[in-house]
Amino acid sequence: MENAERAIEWFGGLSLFAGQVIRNSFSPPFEFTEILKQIFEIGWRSAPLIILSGLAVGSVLSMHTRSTLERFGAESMIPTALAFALVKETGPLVTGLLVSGRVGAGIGAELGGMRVTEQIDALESLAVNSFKYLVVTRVVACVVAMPLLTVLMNFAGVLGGFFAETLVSGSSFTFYFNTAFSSLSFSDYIPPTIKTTVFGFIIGTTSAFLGYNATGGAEGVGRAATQSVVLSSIFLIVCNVLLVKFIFFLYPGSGS
Amino acid sequence: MSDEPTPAIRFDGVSKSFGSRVVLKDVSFSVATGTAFVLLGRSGTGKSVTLKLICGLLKADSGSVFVNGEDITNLDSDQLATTRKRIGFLFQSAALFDSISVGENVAFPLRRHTSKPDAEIREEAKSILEKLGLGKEYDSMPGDLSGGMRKRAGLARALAVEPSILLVDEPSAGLDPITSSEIDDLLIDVKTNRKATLVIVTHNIPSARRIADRMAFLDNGQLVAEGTVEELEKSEHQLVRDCMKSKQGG
Repeated sequence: MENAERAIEWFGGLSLFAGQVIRNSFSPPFEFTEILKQIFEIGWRSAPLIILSGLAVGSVLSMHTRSTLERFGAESMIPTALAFALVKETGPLVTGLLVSGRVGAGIGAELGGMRVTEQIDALESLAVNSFKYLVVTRVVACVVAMPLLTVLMNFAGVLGGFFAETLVSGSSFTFYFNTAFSSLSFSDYIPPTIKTTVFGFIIGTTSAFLGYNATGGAEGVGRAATQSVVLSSIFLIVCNVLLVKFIFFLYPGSGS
Repeated sequence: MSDEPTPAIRFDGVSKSFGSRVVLKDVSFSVATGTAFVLLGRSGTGKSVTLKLICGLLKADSGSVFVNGEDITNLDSDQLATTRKRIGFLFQSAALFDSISVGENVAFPLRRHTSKPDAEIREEAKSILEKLGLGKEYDSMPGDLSGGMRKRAGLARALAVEPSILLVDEPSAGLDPITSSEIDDLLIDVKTNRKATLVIVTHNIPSARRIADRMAFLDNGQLVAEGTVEELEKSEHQLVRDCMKSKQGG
């Protein structure tokens, strides 16, 4: 019973925190310099991880797709099937999980460290709104960076698929990319990519909430970092189910 | 109307609790402008909480905190920010931002609250660091500094916007006697030459004797003694008298 009460209290705190993030995102002053810095930290510095993972995921998916489609003599569908799988689900979800691992842990640990070493109090004492300066900037950066990283993951994935496929069938780069993207329409591409802005919000808000409210010294910082990854990944996966259903509702054709 | 000047800081029946733990109970005192006020007491008696209440980092459960005559207990965040621009805070751990250099730490409040050009801000930050003996450390990272240097860098950042009130939490904690004495000299200089009001929390009695114009002693969240050094030496409370006899620093 006590645990249930604590869980409700925790979710209540997170919800209020998320509401505060949204409200503060639209009220001045806007910390543009800090937001750009965070987009660089969160987005640009995650790019190598995303590209490498995209290449690996794409090549593995391509190999699996080939072994399945070969049975039906439909090898020519491999680029299309791979592009659909990547753009609609694998790309956004894998990007979300990678970012929650790299960035979620970073935000949780950084803000947690700042909290326990009184750096957040120091910011406030210097008449700086620490919530805007530290939390809102990171969440906004996650929201902006996630779709960009997802696009990068999708292209890297298709490229990885091309490398795997060309080794087996020797198909050309132009043919592969034309086939991969020619069947994709606006409704296939945009909703899953926009969905990742919600992933960015979940990762940024959950990890900032845990870091900003960290207590208990170095142990508390470690706990905030670990929980940031675990909880933002879980929330992201659960939210993905709801968002896919929502996208099917808004774009009925996107399921076919 | 009284002709007495408005005190820089006034606590009026302030209480503060964290959950069931009462930290301050009906505490009242005032600090005259341009003087140094030292808060003494055992660990965990609410001294640091008192500093955070003055700066508005914590909110009193009851009572009022006046800063330069203005009750800050009910101010909104924008009004509080305006008040905080007049207050400098040297934290026990210095609380330097560890992701930016020492110089940028000092330049930070200048960048936030002035519209001076970048070159001028850098010069000003360098000049403040030089005055505190850290002229060569502009580009050093906070993690590379010794404890005493970190304290001085923290003091440099707190003084950057020339506050009229300086709050100092445990200036000698973890420092050797020589460095501790150097920090005391700097604080005396701030009080004498900058005419700032100082509120200092310390366990270092020799240091407190050097700096303080007035002192107060907190015990179990209550102010049990307040006055000059001599008055506290003659306090009716045994604990206060024992504390004042201490020759220990740190």
